[in-house]
Amino acid sequence: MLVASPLASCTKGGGGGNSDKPVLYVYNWGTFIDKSVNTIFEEEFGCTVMYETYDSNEAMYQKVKGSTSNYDVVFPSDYMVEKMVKEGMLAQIDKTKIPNFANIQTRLKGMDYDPTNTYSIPYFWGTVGILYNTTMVEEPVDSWEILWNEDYKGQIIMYDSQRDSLAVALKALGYSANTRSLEELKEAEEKLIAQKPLVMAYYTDIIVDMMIGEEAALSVVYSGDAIMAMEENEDLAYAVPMEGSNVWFDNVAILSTSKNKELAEEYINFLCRDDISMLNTEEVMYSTANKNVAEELQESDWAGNDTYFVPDNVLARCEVFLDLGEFVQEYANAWLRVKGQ
Amino acid sequence: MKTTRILGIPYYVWMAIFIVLPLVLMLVLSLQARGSDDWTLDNFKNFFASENGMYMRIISDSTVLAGYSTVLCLLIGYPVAYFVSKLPSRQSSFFLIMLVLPTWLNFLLRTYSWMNLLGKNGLINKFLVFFGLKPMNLLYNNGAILLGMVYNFLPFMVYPIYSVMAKIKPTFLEAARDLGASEFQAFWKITFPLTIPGIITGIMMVFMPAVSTFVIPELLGGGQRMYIGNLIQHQFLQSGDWNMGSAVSILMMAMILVAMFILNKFDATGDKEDALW
Amino acid sequence: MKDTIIEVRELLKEYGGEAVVNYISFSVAEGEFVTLLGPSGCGKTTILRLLAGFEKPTGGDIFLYGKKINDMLPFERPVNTVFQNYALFPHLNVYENIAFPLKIKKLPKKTIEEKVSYYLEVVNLTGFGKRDVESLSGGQQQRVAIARALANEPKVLLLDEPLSALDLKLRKEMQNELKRIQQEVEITFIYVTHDQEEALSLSDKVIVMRKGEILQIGSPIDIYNEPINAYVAGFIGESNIIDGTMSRSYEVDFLGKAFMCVDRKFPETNQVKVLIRPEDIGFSAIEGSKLPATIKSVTFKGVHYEYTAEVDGFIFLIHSTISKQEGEAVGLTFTPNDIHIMRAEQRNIIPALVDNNGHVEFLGGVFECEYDGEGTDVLAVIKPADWIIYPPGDPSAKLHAVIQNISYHSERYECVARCQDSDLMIESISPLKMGEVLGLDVHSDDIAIIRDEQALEDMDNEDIDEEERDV
Repeated sequence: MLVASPLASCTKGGGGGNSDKPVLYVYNWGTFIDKSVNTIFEEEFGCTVMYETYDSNEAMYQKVKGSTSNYDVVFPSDYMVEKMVKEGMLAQIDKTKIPNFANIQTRLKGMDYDPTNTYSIPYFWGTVGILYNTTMVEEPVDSWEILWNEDYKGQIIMYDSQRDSLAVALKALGYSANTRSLEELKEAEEKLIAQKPLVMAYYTDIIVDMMIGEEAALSVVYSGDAIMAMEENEDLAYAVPMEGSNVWFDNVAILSTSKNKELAEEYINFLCRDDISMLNTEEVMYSTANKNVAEELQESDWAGNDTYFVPDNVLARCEVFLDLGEFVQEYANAWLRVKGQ
Repeated sequence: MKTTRILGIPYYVWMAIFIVLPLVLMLVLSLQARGSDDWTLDNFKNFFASENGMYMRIISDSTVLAGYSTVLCLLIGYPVAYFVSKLPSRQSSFFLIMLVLPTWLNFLLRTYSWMNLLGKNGLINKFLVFFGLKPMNLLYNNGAILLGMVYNFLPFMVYPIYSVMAKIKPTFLEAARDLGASEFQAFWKITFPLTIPGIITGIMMVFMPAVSTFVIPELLGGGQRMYIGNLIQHQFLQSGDWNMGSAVSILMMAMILVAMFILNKFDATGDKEDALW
Repeated sequence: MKDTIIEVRELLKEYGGEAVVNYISFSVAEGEFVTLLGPSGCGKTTILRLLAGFEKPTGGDIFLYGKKINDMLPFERPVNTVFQNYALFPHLNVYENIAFPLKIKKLPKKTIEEKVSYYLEVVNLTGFGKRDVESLSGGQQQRVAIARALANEPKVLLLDEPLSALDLKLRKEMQNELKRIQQEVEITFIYVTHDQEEALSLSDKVIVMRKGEILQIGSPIDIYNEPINAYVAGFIGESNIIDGTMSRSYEVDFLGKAFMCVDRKFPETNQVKVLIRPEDIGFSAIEGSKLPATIKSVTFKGVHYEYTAEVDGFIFLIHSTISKQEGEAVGLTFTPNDIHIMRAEQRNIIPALVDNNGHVEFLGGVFECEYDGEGTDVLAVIKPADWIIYPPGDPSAKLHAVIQNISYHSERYECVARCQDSDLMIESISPLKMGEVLGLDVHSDDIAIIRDEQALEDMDNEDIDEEERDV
């Protein structure tokens, strides 16, 4: 064990809370952690972890922003990190407290949304693509256009989130997923409206179950969900279309309102530890940011899995979501018009 | 008198914090533009003047859907309440418990279960295929949404109707029969008018959650159409436009209040002379 | 005598094998005010419901004007009911309640208005039409219920304890009202009550019931003065009941003395019960008195004193306006007219052996019974009418008896039959023949097990006490 005196370090960081034990409030994506991890942390650091989950960056943002919530640690995606940094919602992380930062893959450090990793440490990452059932889709899946193919009417599940779905349409049209052009956005909106009659459902988390249960032929999913689904159902396959897609990074960060920053930093360092990373990776099945874990997995039966170990040529045609500032309202309105149509 | 007032204080405080304050906040938000402190009616104007009348259409869709659910719940729930009230008390309490038993499960879990039943490879379709029939599209349409609503809200209709029905003394019906009424006349002129308060409560209890639910259309309807609940959810969580979200919420509340007002009017006329003859 | 409007013949109603109304027959004349009187659970309300058509008889027939109406539905019968709790429709006002049957009949609006206002007048509620029924007092609600039932213009009005929910003063008032209304509308009233005073003051004819059977039918005066047995006497009012013997007509022996009386001897038995009402007993000087007594207690009751006085171990209850002291020695007097002779209730008392498993054995047969007392040597008590009679040799028969003698009493046959060495009293509604062999059984409910003769007396007293407590 690396930690010398866990108890001492915890009592020091304890702020608020009437119990003797300090409490760490963690707000994470659903199904984004191994269940035992928090328990291990509680045992090692003699504290209590209050754990809650969300299912979209926007939902997390709305809940954290301006409210009196007492969360310490959150897991924003790339563009959300950017947005939250701009709005001063994230605290600077003292990297001397995160020796395990050395375990993070170098190519994932210093991305555009946080060039110095001052506010965020990569946690998991992956792509957005098409998960499809090979028994229902015989043609090759290499373009977003297949989601507009009349043959699959009523067999398509779209991702029920404004940026993800609009990114699909924008990419299909050959535009940037971060476009600030109203015309391009309008085109994407109309493309999604035109797609509505073909769409079976707009879901988020449950797409995996739907695909495993062979309820639909095609769906837009995150690569991690795809891996999970493919493990369960051999007929499923995943592709990142040639028009390019979104590559995303989910990061761990500390809120500037955190009353327990030192314990939060311990938590982040803990998550970067190899053994904990491995536990989470095996549970979550998204591409890990931890280089040691990734190397270990290259030698496992996951070796050669393009969905997990994203090839460079795929990564090259993908772009990271950027924070669009106030312009994101246009995305929201466009998506509202799609859904409300 | 004084002590009752003192004893009421915790309740008033509770009301102020959890009911009045949020309402006031919502009203304030709805009267301000996003990110500004100036008073404006823009949110409401936008609402009524939205592109293609989208908001109005969402409201009317929601009302129609909630209306259908309520009517269906009434059509199913009234006879259920009637027959349960005629059973010996031991059996009727058994039936009532059976009716609420599913509500002891988590709401989402119940809805997911319906997805498993109705899905393309769900239990019902597997059954159909087993008997050589063609599988049907049971999910991701308005029928599935209605089913989910009726399933989830039926107890809210049955209970209030049952509770007034159970209080109708059997001698009322015997008296009616004795005075020359046929079985149907006795029902129509005695039982039915006496159950109107229960029907009205039932309608309110079903209509309100039905008009504002967003989980059922999202899951069973595949999120293909937007209803008021989804709209409010979108405004608050996806779009982050709390002001517009508040405006929609306020309008929805106003709508429900109007509906309740009309219903109460109807209840009141039920007591007027000859109103039911 | 007026025409018979209702005739009930051998009416039987069972719930789950239990007879609530047990082969009852009576008739009602047109315009008569008939009261069914008895403690709760005696079956009187069930009879009313059978007449109204809310219940179907298990057996027997109901005739209206000589026409059988067993299968007629309630609304087809020219009979209406005033319910115990009024059953006024709460969503309708007074006018609408009374108009209910008329609207059902689809009478013209004008006719309805006339009739409603007429019946409102009959029940003294003119001007109450617009009132909400729930805003009325109990007595007013009762009047509305009567008006509503009358508005349907029935041939017979059934009233189910209509005054029981009212307080004493209102009850007295409504008694007079009821009598007046009945005389005004000239409709036959069949009235159910457990209140003997109500029954005596209202009725032309009283039918006293107990446990699904009719004990006595008669005018209030007959019932009061000539109760058929100790039970009726006890139920109708306070009384002194003394065991006596009568070896010839117009003379009865009790308390070791012979007294003149006005009754004839019963042909079948010498054993009688003597009834003397407390208010019929007077005081005389102790010297030369036929019944010297000692005053045991005095209670002042307002109008009169209530005394208990002992004569040879028998305690008399006396009501008198004359003042006496406790411990005073007095003579008791009454006239032959005040002595009422009742037939002593006949019972078979048979020595038996009981075990703890609910079986009792007597006369060579084994029967089921309920007994949780001590000891195995007991007496089985069975009423003559409770025997179940089978043809001889029927496998269900547990005993066999040979008929020794028969007598016929108003629609029933009584016989004495020999079983082993005992004589059994048996009553039957179907004809019996001398010398005939009867197969006998008896239902476990109809066997009372007692330890000795003393317990028999206790049982009788308890019987009355219990039923009066119910009331």
